[in-house]
Amino acid sequence: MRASARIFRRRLLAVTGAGLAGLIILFPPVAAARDGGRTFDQTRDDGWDDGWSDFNWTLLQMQRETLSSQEEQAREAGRARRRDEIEKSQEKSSAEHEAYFDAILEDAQAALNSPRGAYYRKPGYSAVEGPGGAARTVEVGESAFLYDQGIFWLQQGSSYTVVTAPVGAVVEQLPQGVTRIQSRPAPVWYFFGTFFGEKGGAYEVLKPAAGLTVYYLPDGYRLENVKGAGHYRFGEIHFKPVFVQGVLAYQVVEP
Amino acid sequence: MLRKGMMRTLLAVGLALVAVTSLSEVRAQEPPAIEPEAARILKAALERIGGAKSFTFRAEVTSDVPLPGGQKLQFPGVLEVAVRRPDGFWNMFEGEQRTVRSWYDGKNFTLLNSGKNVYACWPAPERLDDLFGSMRDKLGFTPPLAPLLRENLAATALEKVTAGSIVGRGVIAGTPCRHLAFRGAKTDWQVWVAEQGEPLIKRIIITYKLEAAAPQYAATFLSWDFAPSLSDAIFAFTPPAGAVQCEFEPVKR
Repeated sequence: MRASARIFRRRLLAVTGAGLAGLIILFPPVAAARDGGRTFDQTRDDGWDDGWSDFNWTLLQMQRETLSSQEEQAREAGRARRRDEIEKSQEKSSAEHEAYFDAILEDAQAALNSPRGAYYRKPGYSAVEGPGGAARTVEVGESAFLYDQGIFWLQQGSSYTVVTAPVGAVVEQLPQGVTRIQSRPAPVWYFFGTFFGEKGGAYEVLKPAAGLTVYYLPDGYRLENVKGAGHYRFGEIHFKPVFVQGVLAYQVVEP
Repeated sequence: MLRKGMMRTLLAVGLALVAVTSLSEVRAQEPPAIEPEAARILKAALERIGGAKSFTFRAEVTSDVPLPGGQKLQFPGVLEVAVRRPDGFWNMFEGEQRTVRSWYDGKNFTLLNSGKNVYACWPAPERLDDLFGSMRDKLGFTPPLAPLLRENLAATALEKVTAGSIVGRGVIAGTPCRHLAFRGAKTDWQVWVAEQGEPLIKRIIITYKLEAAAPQYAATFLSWDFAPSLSDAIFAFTPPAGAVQCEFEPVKR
């Protein structure tokens, strides 16, 4: 009886030992990986892995710039229509042709970073046709604006003129191509020089707070010298250029 | 008798535990699985760059940009770089979305967005090898392919590599190359090194495997020059006419 108990204990010992050994042999890769991970995370040096990771900024910034650029063809079609409109109305005047080419150049520069495919008309643009049928009337003070896809129009006689967005105007929908900006206490949406904030399920045109940063300026901005520094002015909003992680951006400043 | 038996059993289990724990520690301390030949080829290529007093290169680069919805775009560009150790650096990147140039002369680092004619200057460390770490900490970015520009890159490149191997042979721009692949914690990278003549890097691909859709950055080196004539003027910045000066936004911690 004692002999059989001894044999049983030996077998139990062998099985237990083998099992433990098996378990620990199986798990070291996990433990080693965890140790390795801790080393990777905590050691700060100039190894290649960190070095290459530095370049993520470019990918992320390019992604940021490209997120609002998903309708290239529509944008191009819109621009082509606009060129046609301008060309038809100005083809008899060489001086006006120069303005046309300037406008194209200016547009091309602004379009480098602006949302491609988004419907846009810069302030001052005037047409008999005006906005599309989906335009809604938005009243601000005693003025009645027509709002369509992020653009505000004013009727002047028999024509319609694009104006900068009136602060306080409340619209039901944000335009396509709008960029969301993280901001406190609430996020802000940006679209070609106009800042929107949420208001009771709708969106209100805001006077942007200093420090808000955007990655493109709309067509129609002007470069001004303010106390020796170059500022970009669009309507009543002043922006200063700034490099954010190596990418050119524009920060709202007090004039 | 029974107590004696129990003692033996406990002793045996304890010894088994000690033995297998030691074995697992040995396994955990095993060096990364890097093929010595892959490490040797890479080291030779990096020593050629790291040991040069000055050099220039021109490369065609592409950057993947994953978009929400799964679409992945790729943006090409051309990168030109000039390095003169210990304190000279210049580069120009002409891409689909931007054209930028930068200058470093041991005193200032300047970045110019040529398309917008906007630039910023930053008082920089005195040595090129200190520039990139300082830029990363204070400005939040480094120039493209900065890891290749360090003097001690051969010594540090494999520090955090978890695996490395020779994939095979490939021809890059007409040059027969050895194709190497390495794995890191955050990135995987592949390098093609010329087989004949100088061990020049002909192509490099970095995969950001932790990012969504694992975007890649690739550079194909069109030319290397390890005996360039680089005057001081190359590294000194002169603002273009009408250029607007701005600032770098410092990294917020």
